[in-house]
Amino acid sequence: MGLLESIIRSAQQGGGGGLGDVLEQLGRRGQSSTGETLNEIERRSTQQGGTNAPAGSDISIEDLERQMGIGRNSGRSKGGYTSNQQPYQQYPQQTSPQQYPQQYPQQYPQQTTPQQYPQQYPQQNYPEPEQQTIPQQQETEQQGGGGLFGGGLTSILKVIGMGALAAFVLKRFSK
Amino acid sequence: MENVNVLEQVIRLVAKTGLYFAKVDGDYSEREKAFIQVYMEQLEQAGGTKEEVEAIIGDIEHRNITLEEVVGDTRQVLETMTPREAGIVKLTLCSFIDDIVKADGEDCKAEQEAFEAWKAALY
Repeated sequence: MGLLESIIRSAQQGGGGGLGDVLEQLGRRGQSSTGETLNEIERRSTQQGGTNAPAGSDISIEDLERQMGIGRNSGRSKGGYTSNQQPYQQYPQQTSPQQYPQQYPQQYPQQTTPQQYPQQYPQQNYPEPEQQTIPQQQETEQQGGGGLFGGGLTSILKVIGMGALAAFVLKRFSK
Repeated sequence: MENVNVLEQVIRLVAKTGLYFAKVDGDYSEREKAFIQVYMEQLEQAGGTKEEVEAIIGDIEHRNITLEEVVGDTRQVLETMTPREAGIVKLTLCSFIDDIVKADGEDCKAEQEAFEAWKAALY
């Protein structure tokens, strides 16, 4: 149980758990933000309601916190009493999640520029394989006899067929 | 298979084979000349220039072709091929010779004997 919670609970309980007990829990240390010492606060509070003031007195929890310099309305943003609250309040201000979507999308399109890659690589690389394949096709034609035939078994059979046709025509119509 | 050399050898082989079997039944100089002319025209139509064709078979027309030369050249060509290719080419040459022998529609003993000798040498 935090100190602030115990104070609030003591104040709500009233009666025997009055301001005197609260001040006793505070250890009577130092001065408040208003410059009053705890003893002065206790004395003033006693005059208003007393340590044995019954529950439902005019002193509210907010008044006590304000007088002691603690609580949300005290003006003390830092201190051991509000240590549990302050980290949660500071994180949204520091991280500022709205900044991340704004920064990264703006940086990546500028750096990577994906539209440049399709334009560069196809124009530079593809003409090279085409230039390499063209000489290979010319060599194949040259292997077939200087462009006379395509080469290979098909060309051989084609040549034999030409001879057969020539011989057939010759003998068929020579007599 | 060296396509250039083999193809030139085949062109010369077909010319020799055609000339030999065309005149095996007699001395027909006109027939030899006609065969070479038709054959050369076929080669030229296939894409070869006249100079290329004459360089390959131009000297064959006036030579005396023998069966031993035809068989020897055929074996030399077949040895450069794979067994499968050699089988196909040999079968095609056999059909080629058979067409020559039967082209005139007459049964000539000399042609049949030469054809049988060719098959016996290569099969």
